[in-house]
Amino acid sequence: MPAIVIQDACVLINLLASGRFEDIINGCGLSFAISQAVAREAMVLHYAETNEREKIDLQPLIGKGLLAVLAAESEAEKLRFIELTMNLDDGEAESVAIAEARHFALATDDRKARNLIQREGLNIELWSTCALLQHWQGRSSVADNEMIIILTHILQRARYRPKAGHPHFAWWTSLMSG
Amino acid sequence: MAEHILAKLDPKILGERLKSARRDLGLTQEVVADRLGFVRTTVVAIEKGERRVTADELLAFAKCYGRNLSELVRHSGFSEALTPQFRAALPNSQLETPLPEEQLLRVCHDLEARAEDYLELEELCQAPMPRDYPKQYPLEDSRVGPEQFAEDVAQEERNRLGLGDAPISDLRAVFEEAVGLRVFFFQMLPSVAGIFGYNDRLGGCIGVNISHPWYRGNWSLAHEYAHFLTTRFYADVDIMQRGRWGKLRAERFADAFAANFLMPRSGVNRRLSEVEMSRKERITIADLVTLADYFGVSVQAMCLRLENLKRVQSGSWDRLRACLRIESGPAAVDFGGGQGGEACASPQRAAMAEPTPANAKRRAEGPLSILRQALKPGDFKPDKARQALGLLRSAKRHAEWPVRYLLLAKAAYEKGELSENQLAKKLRADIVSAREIMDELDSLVISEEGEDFSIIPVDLASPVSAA
Repeated sequence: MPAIVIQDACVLINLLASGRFEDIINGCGLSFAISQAVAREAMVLHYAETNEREKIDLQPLIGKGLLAVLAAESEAEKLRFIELTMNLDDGEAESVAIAEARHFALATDDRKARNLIQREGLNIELWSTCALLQHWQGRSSVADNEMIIILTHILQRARYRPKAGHPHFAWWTSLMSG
Repeated sequence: MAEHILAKLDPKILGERLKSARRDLGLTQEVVADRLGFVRTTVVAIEKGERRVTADELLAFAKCYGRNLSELVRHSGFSEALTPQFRAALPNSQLETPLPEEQLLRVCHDLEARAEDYLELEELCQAPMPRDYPKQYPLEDSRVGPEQFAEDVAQEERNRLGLGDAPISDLRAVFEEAVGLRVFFFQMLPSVAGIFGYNDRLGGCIGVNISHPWYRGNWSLAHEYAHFLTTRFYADVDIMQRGRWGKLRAERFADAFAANFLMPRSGVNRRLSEVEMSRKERITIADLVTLADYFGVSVQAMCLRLENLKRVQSGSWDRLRACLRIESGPAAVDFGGGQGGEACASPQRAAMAEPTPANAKRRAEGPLSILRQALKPGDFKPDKARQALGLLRSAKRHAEWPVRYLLLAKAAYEKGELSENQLAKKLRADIVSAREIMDELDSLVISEEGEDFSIIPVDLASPVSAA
């Protein structure tokens, strides 16, 4: 049984922007889920090429079983969810609450969420967009030129790139300049 | 932990927020109780803060109202401190056609929520807004009429702010930076021009309708500032509708203040004298349009101001509109007190004199072409007249957010004080749009060394000096 990784909205948007969401999800050897609060969020991708905005519809992905939708269920999870919303937004708070209670991993690029997990000493394994992509590239032997296209899509459609100081900054820049 | 977290929530504040969320949807307590499977008295007791919510109840309320839990439970969330003021300010009883009260209140809530967000960003960045508020000018203390009082106050404020009698190129920046007001432009009901609210914690807050033209936005800003000067502790909702509303003393003051603050008597007279001396002609429609652009106001406001200053005949604005409705081509309008036929050619000449390539083309097409663009049979189109004269400021739009607000949001986000979702909510945007806005703040600075120029990318939110 592969480990379960809960994605927050930021990582989900980035992976959807890649244009290879299904391949990444299927090729990572992990199971992916999102929290109910993330599923409720209105998410949009921007296509710089055509200046169009596309509302993300998660239903087909959920229907295909690529993403499970999880809600805080037990009283303890619900209370933890409420407690975390004093610091985080609902999507992030529910994701952290579930990951913490069920010992799942969490994929987030969000500095505030990561700081909170570190500060509170929560035993949650952390992933990021870049870490997932690098893991998938290694596991599925994705060629660098293919990765460049994927990173370009993420940059253009989700306006995401790791900033200087990010652990994967060098990986991203060396690929993009290669 | 269970008792601990729910005990942290102040039941009265939470109850108020739940009540407000319910009212925003126009739901009764009975309907909510029915939908959630509670008895009505439970909803009543929770809203009054007499009974604590359970986790399940809180989640159910949030779902039912379509609200985020974080909005309901965060300490620094929306407190609705200004709501009673806004309720009292709703002008429906003064209007010929009342507006939907719920929608008006939503505009008020929107301003307050933005001001609360601004305050939260300042707290996160430990950067309080510097305030330099003027004294209050109570209307009831004035011994002259509101119009005269407005002129005196406008002059005093211009002097205090070091503006002299020149046009104000960026009125919003003056109010934000020199006074310390919170100014937002956002979507409102079309007939709402602007709103104003104040309390000691948030300070003065002004909201202006973002869909109105740039110059109308300036007028609304100055109008709301007048309320801040005279009746600071009373909120204002400015509706563009005729009726008893416009005759109220405070409203007469606010409009007269806007006219005097934006178009000071001495500044307008000097500019007009320069125009007249340069051409030895009477004021033309082109002059009027150009002057309006110069002072950042509408053509109508400029014309009425000139009437008020007796630089054009009284009723010129009405005549301008009426004359142009009659004919089937460019019309004659007398702005200088002479015969109507004479003035017909003047605006064309003045407009044609502008040395733009577009004008050269139009000149070749014929002398009436510029005015034909601006004056469609049956109506006067000031915006087209501005375009014809190459006055591009009319196409400008006010930005939704103060620059300082954006920089604080960026700084808070980069310090990890705001999550990406929270950042997006602060900007009323989706996550990708929020990223775009943040990217735009990574702007470029040109460095100049002798004859060499180089471009340096910088993060505008970062401090200049090292920590």
